[in-house]
Amino acid sequence: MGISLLIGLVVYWTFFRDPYVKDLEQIMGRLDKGQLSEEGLRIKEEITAHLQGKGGSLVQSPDFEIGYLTPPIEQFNIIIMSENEKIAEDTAIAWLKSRGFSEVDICDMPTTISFANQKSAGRPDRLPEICK
Amino acid sequence: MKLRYVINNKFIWVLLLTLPLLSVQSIPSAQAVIGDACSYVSDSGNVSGIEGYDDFCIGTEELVQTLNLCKAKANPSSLQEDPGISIEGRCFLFTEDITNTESGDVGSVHGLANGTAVRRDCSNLSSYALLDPETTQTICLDEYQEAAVATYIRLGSIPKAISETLGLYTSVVPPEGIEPTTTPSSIFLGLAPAVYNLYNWALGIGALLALAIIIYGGVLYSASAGNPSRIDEAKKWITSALFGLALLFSTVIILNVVNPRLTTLEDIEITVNPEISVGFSVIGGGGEDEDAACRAEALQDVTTYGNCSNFYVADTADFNLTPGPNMLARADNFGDPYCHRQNLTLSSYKEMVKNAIVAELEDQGFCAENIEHLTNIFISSVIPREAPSFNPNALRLRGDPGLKVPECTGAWGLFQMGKDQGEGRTGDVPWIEQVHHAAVKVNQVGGEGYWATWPGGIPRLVSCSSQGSPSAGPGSGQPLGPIGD
Repeated sequence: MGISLLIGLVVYWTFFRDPYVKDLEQIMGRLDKGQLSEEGLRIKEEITAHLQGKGGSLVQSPDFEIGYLTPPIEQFNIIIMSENEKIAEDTAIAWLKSRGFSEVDICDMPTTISFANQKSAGRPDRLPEICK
Repeated sequence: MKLRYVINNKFIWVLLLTLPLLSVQSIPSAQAVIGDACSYVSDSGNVSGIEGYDDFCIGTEELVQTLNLCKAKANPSSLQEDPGISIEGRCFLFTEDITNTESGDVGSVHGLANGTAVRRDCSNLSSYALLDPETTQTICLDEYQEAAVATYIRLGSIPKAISETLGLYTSVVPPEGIEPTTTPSSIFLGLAPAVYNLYNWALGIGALLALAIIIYGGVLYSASAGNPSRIDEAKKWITSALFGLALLFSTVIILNVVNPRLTTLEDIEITVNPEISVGFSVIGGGGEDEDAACRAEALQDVTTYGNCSNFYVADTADFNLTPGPNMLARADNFGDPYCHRQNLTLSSYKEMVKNAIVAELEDQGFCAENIEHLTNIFISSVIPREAPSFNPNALRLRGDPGLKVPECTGAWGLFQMGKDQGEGRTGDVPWIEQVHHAAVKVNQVGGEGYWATWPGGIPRLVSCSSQGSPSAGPGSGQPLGPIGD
């Protein structure tokens, strides 16, 4: 009985679970965990200084925008407008790295990916590939 | 010996490794299925079913093409090329004064659906016609007008600007004896993603099996000690596994070469209340009925923020919230996103919505932990899924998963809520009120079933460390239920 239940759960978890649940759970996990390093905190303060404690845009391009959302769900939010999503994501991550963030800090912030293009319309947010 | 024959038989292994692919095909994604699910029925035969608009569902691409035609008609100088759109099967024009000669019904979508939807032409006006309410004369439309009118009938309204441009008259005549419904009508079973997962899983298992066989063959080869029959057997194992592996990974390519449709799998859509056909627009007659009134309210009378007279571009779903001439949805419908966004980046706008959600959840008495939890769900999952690009004017027609013009029975706004369904379930209001209603709904006992499309369903509230627990059910940590409309 117990084994059947276990198998059933595994089958359900494997086949019938909405794949986006994992994305959301990963974001929640990062929000709960996120503790930036001291250096990461310093850089975050630096690049969000112009927002004066509010949320808003950090950088914009035709392909993506990196935004900062304030607590209680503090995060960097990369909004991808380009349909070439991978390049846009990589470029946005590269920009964050260019400001001095390590990959660990980018993930611990956390950083999330949103979509504002037709290709992924209706797709919930997810973590960057480097954070999965 | 038999067992050995079975496991050493190339055909059986190939069959085992590729079996999952016989019934499972790859799909682009669940989202793509939703966007492509719309197709219209040809007029070449009897239009099946009595599903009202669903029988005349126009695909998103066609809709845009048709609207471009409409725009071209409204502004002839912009008519540069004829996209060649066929309007066959889209002659749904009739008034309450004209009887569908084949079904005998009058002014009813059902009557039309049950009859044979022949293309209207001027020599057969008794089937489908257009009645000028002032002159009571029948108007013959050219194909552009017909395409425009048919489209807007499909969408549930003919904007006044279009009507005037085309010289038409609009009104709404609900089918007799049928009450409007406020129930969104499409449910996707979600089987396609499940099958897709199964396919991926089977692919992995197949590859693992093949790897195991290759290893086994290698061991057999190593232990053959020069015995030719053993070496031969080992080679057979390895080649069979490699062959199966190649076939496994090339199946999709082969199927795609044979016919690309073989590699797509559309989700199954169930239409709720298929027999309920509510107010629809027809040409002719006069005055406004309930449907027209509610639409007019949605389009014009909702309190807006500021003096916003901009319109959205009629792209597929207003993804970019671009202002411009538009015959679909006005920017100040019930959200005023353009007015709010014209000086904001998308990030700032998103922050604004997020702050509103937090404030509303605080007002509902949720504790800090659940405010964080629910805000994250709304911002990261619900709104992106329900209203791409955080568009408070995101619209979904009854029976149509596309995002188009407002429909009194459709789903509206950031959370795709309905109309006049009370606090907590109304979406045809300015976006700030949409947020308020969403927060109220989360905190309502029994409200958990509302958010059906939140991925995975049944989120639970987290434990509160101290103060601020709501009085209603969710505060006690009971299941919230699936999120979405």
